[in-house]
Amino acid sequence: MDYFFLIISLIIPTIIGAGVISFIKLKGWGIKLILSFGLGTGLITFLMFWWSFLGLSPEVFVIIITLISIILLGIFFFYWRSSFYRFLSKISLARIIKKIKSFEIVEIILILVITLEIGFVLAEGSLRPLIGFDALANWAWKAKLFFYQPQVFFNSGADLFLGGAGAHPNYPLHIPLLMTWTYFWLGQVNDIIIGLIFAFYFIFLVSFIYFSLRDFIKRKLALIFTVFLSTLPLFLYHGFHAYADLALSFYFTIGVILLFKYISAQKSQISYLFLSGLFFGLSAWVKSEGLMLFGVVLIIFLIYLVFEIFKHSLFKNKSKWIFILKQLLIFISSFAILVLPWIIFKINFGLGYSNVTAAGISWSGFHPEIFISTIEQIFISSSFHLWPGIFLLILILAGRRAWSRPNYFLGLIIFGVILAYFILYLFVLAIKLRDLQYNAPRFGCRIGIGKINGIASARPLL
Amino acid sequence: MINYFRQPIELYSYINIIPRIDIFGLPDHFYFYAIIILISAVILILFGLALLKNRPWSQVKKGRIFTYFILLVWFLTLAHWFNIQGHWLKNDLNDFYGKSPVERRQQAISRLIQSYGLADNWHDFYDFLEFGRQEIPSQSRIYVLPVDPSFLVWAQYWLYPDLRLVDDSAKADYLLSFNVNLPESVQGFTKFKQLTPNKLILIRSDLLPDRSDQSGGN
Repeated sequence: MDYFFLIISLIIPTIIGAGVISFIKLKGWGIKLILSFGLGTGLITFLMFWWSFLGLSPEVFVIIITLISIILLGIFFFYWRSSFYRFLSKISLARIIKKIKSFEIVEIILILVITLEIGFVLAEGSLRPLIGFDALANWAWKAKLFFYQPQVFFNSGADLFLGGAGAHPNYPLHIPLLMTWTYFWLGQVNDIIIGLIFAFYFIFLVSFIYFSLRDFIKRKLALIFTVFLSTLPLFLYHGFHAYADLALSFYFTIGVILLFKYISAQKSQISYLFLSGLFFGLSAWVKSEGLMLFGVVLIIFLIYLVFEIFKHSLFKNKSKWIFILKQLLIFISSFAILVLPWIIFKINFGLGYSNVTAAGISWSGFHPEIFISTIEQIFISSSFHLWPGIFLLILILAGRRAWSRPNYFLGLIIFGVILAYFILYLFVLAIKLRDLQYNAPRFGCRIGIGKINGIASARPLL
Repeated sequence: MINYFRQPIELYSYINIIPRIDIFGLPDHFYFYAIIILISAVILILFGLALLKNRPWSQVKKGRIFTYFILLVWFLTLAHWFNIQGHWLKNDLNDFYGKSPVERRQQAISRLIQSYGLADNWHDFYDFLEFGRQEIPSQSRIYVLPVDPSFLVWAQYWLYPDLRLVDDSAKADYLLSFNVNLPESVQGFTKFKQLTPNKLILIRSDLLPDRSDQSGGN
């Protein structure tokens, strides 16, 4: 029964998201479903945050959202019932067999591999209890606290305000609130099956990559690249660990692809730009790095627009200038809708962006040692397997096509993001290789002497 | 080489990085990249020669050959990772399938501590927390020894909302001491209950109930 309510708890935000998506012209039911899930879950947690902050009952919020989703579902059915019946009438065994027969052996093997990986992530997500250090110290802890004591969670005078000092109170709250939303549906804190939420992020991101690739390349090649993604060790690992990184990748990737589709379309749809900004806003609502990533994208988008101005000699054309400014305004404002309230909240409560304290980022000199260790982590560790090397090889072998218009936009974003992380690590923290490799409890190293009155020898018995 | 395929047991410690594996003292990726670069170079040279001599197979699409080659290398070099996945699934089905949430947490914590090579008497930390939950009155403030981030996080997360972890023993009503070499007397605290001789609960002296088990229960 818990699995049923978990699925319901994810379907309801998806319906809410579909309500927004229905105003935008999008191709393909798969993309619509994925965007609805992403937007819906993001909006639900964003609204739940402000609702609870105002001291209103989260349970009432759940009831209101559920009622809205039922109404929306009714509206969808009323307007699209004929399309729905047409879709159902098209489904037949003969059509399915015909479709399967159209696949080559290689494609079937690739689909099988992707299916097995999805099955693996789903199985692990439902078997393992939450165990990751940061999950229990931060994300799941906040979710549990919010479930039991929402009034304490938002009481700035309480020790446990936003999880308390040790739980990164300055971190964005999408993941904890999504977990709490599901707990409300389950009627309890279930830190076993909650891992499935992350499995769904995995499935939707893999599917999104496939559907997006299909717009540009053939099915077989799209499947090959999807297999590369779905078998990446670290990516798979995050598919069943309650960490925010996968969700951040999900929102950021969608934002980038929507922006890419916007600039690469013959007839640009401004709604893509708006939606892209919303997804970047949600990525900053998942992790603070989302702000930095948006900064990178904004700079590259500006470079792109300036390049277009020079290329098409738009200086003399006033209406084109206005159009470009309008694009920027829509992009930034759609991002700011979701991010600005959170930033104001943080400023109001003196919360910064450090990953160590609740205060601002602590700049700590220049750390060139990070350069070698990061390169090693990217290319030599098992995290991304051979993908970084293969990616570089593809860039070399398909150089002209990779850097042609508008593909260079994606290349700039990839290198821009890597550069941004390098700069951050070079000036913020001296992260040693060991810390990067094993960001985990180290018994015997960290176990210290207890800070206890009158005990000088409270040493662990190791 | 055999050892390479015999390292599939997870350390339960991977978070941001899946660690590399070495073969003959060098990272396995060193060999993989070397093979890819060498074979890619051979393919390119062969095509170059074929193009110069106008051989018919120079018309074969290089992109397709390169794609299949990369795909093959991808799967072959991931054999180790697929092996790990299989082991994880097998172990986790054995450890967690059909078990209650409490049993799963017990098992997971035990596995995690085992993976760090700590002695057997460290494996039952979750049992000790459950023991504390049963014995200590609800809503009490607790302090946990040893002071280790993992133990503190586990205690805070799993004992909430029944018990509240504090960061200073002066604020605590109870002290949970797990495998710590405590002195004979602890200022302000009295022995309350014990799971084993080194896994015990101390109570703040002024809270001492009449019925407290000074000699150690259980």
